[in-house]
Amino acid sequence: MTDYRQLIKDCLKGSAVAQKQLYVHFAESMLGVCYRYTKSLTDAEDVMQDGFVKVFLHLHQYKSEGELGGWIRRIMVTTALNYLKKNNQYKYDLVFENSSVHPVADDDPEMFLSTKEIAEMIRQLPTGYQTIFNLHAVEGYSHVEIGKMLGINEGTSRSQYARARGLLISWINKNKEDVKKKLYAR
Amino acid sequence: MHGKEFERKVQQQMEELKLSPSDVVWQQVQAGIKKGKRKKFMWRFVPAAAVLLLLMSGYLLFVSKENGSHSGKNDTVLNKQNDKAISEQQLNNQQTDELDLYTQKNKNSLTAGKDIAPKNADSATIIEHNNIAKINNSPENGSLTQNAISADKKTINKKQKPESIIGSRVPAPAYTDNSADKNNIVVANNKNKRSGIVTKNSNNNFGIVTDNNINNSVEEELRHAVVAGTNAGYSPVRVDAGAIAITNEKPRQKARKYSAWKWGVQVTPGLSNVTKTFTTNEPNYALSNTGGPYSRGNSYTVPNPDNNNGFAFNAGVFVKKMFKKTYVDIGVNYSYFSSSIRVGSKVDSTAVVRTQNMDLLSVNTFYEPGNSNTYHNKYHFIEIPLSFGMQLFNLGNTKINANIGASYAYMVSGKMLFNSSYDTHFENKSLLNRSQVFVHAGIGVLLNEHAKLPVTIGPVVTYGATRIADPSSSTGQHIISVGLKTSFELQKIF
Repeated sequence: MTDYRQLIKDCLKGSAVAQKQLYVHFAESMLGVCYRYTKSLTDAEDVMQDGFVKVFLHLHQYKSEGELGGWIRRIMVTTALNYLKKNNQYKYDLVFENSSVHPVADDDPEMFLSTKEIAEMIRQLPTGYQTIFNLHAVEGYSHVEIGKMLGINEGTSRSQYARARGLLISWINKNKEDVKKKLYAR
Repeated sequence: MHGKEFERKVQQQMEELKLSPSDVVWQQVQAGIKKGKRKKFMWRFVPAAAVLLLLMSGYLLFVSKENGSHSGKNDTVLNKQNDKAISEQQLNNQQTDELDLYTQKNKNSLTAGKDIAPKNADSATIIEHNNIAKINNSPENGSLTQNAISADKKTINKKQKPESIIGSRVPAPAYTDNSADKNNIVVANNKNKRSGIVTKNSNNNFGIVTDNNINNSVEEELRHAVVAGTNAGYSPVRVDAGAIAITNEKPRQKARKYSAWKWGVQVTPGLSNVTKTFTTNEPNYALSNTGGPYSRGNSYTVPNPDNNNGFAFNAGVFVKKMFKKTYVDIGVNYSYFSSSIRVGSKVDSTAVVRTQNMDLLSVNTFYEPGNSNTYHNKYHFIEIPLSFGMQLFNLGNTKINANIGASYAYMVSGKMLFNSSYDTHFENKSLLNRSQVFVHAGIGVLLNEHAKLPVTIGPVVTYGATRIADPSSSTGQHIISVGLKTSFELQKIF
């Protein structure tokens, strides 16, 4: 685990060089995080920009109890959620249907797609599915935690996730090549 | 985490996803950091300004502190004693509250009669001695030590022999008690180096006059015992400069009874805002489960979080019960708090929003996101505050107190901007929490405590312990306010 203590100390002192160094170290991976929650790279950069501002303004709250990268990532996820709620492009699509009945898809498809292809598939999901899938499958939040974050019931989160997962798997299993063509054509 | 292979692979691949941001992003991050630090600095400035105001008030008061000693400005200057008079130094050696009476037989005392008779004195002085206080020694022994008595205790116990006190060296001030059967010269401790001639006018009234103002009786302040006198025949006594000091001060008024109850009015202008509770971890990003407005409440409808400072005002009446160094006060106030939010254009159209319980709420007007307009959250309260105060410093006529308290307030009128789950801004009154409990703390500088209009001025911080919005729609917003409280105690005027 990389020791960022000195870097953090310098950032807290207001060193622009240290801040730039911290930003450069995490920017690429954090942009990837933000990209999964949005529909465009521009939106992803906006989210990341807001996220890093919060990182530097609240850096004094980081207690070194976990990895700095994980701490920054959580801030990015929170910022992304807020961005979705405020942005006209996403907010009307951020709908979560309350249903206690959800399809179960237990099969695990063969994962032959590249990282970017998987990311693009996730981004093609409806905003609500996309958000919950990212939070549960990628970030690892439980449905109880997701319910609190999004203001929905745990059951709603489970059903939404199941639908998202089923949709992704169906794309992978049944229309592998077509999806690829569709993605590359954009 | 989950054990499914699909999720594991997806997670693994997404962790490897890296994209290069454009160069402008870092510049915007830097600009955002500067802007955020400016906002924090502004809030820190308010308490610093309040402390600075407090220090300036204390300094000005200390510099202009009134001299409260009795200076005897209207003292009548008496002439100095002749060589046989008691020296001033002897008088100065006296303790403040003692009388040191000497008979005319005392070598150090003033000589009586002929030796020191003034040229123009053709009337005899009659000085009678009446004990009006405790006397340790009899006058015949030549020295009397008389304890201090209060002005209120003026009982005459007995007469002394007439020869006892002619030429007595007494610390002044002194006055003539020319009531029907008294004819006393009443003297007290002398802090001033004065002298005068004891004489008697045509009405057989005694007086102590200056060389410049013969035959004028002078009312003096009684502080100690009466000087013994003698019958007519003695020449006017010229006393030592230090023996008698005459002031034109009126007798001290009866001390005002200390009133334990005070009442008055207060006004407190200031700034207010709506903030998230300090007890929550939002927006504490140290937690793993961070989130925006949704992370605490399970609501689609939440108060708009992007509030800026607004004007606050508080005014009312109070009743205060004083103890030795503490006090309790209770009152009734009108309180006004506000905050401002930047919004977009107003849309006069019906919209449906969803509350926490999935209930639908219809609104007739809402605002688009944006910065083109300013919306003001406004809250009007009737408040009943209860405060406890304690004196920290006593600077004479100025005191510095600290106070803390709580109040119950009912919102008689208010409006607040909320966000729906789709970030529509809408105004709503039904989601407000009308019953509020505030806590407050402050420091006050009490000026001119003994004047007719005592004033207390100082900073006060108020915090709403209860949420401003209904819990079902709130993520913990509370009112916070900082103001400068000025209160006037009116019981001496009315």
